[in-house]
Amino acid sequence: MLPNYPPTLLRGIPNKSDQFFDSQGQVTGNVFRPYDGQEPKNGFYEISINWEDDDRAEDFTLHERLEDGSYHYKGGAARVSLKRIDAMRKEAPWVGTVEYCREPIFGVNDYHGNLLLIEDRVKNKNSRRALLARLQLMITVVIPPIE
Amino acid sequence: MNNYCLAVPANKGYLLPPHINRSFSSQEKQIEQEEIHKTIVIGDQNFTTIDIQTFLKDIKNTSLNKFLAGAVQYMEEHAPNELVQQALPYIYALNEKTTAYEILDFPPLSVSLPGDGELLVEWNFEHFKIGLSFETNSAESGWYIVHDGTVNKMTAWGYLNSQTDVELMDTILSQVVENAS
Repeated sequence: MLPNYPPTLLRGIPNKSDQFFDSQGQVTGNVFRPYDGQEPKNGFYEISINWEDDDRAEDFTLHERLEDGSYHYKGGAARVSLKRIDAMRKEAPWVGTVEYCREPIFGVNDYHGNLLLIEDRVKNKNSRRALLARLQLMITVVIPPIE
Repeated sequence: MNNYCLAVPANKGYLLPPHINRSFSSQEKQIEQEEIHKTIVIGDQNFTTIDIQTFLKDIKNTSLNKFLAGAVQYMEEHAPNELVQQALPYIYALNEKTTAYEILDFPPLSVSLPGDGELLVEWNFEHFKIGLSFETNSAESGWYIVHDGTVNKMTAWGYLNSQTDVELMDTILSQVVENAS
């Protein structure tokens, strides 16, 4: 684990539909998929996350709102272990595939950062599916949304 | 749905998916409707052919193992029919092959619709998962096996196609049975 990173991060889930939850009610790897039309930066797709730097990060994330005032993450948030990400980064099929960074949004979101998914693995549909499924296995818990 | 068939390897009885919208290698021969019930040779294997409607009618009459039944019902209620038709042969092939292991308590298959014309069928185990993804453009349909790093399992992915599907089902089952036993 790199210094100055907490043990966990949160990835918001936009809704409870079968786009992000399977028929068994389990969150799917699709929650880590770049949004449609997203362009990679410096060879990586940015997947927006919040670092759990303190015990307010969860509440902050669940209360984030869209421009129309509704909650952003109506499906809740997935908690991911950074230790698991680091372990994955050392596995042969995934070396160089996943990075991460901080990217605080000044005055708006100090917790903000990104998972960085390498461009070629994402652009290729075949490897993207496997990568998203692999990332799903690092979710430790799904926090329910604010109702 | 009228101009293609399913190929069933004559010696093993495995069920292969329909050849939809894909090109054929020089070793393969596209199966035409009038060739139903004929034996053809692909590579070093003998295949017999049946039409897909007959196949689906027949397999619907077979009972599904309980770990598959919920997924099929969910697909039929929520997924576009063309994707369901792609997925069903795999589901029933899995059903046929796992019947031999019915003593094992398999987790249920799960289904989701990630968007962009995709139907995703996943088999989730404690430390690994198997996925079959069916796309509107069937040439882009694929599969994967991934694990969480705590078990000595294979990581692999690929496109679905008739030359590898028999091998794929065996690979999937070997991973699953090894975990379940």
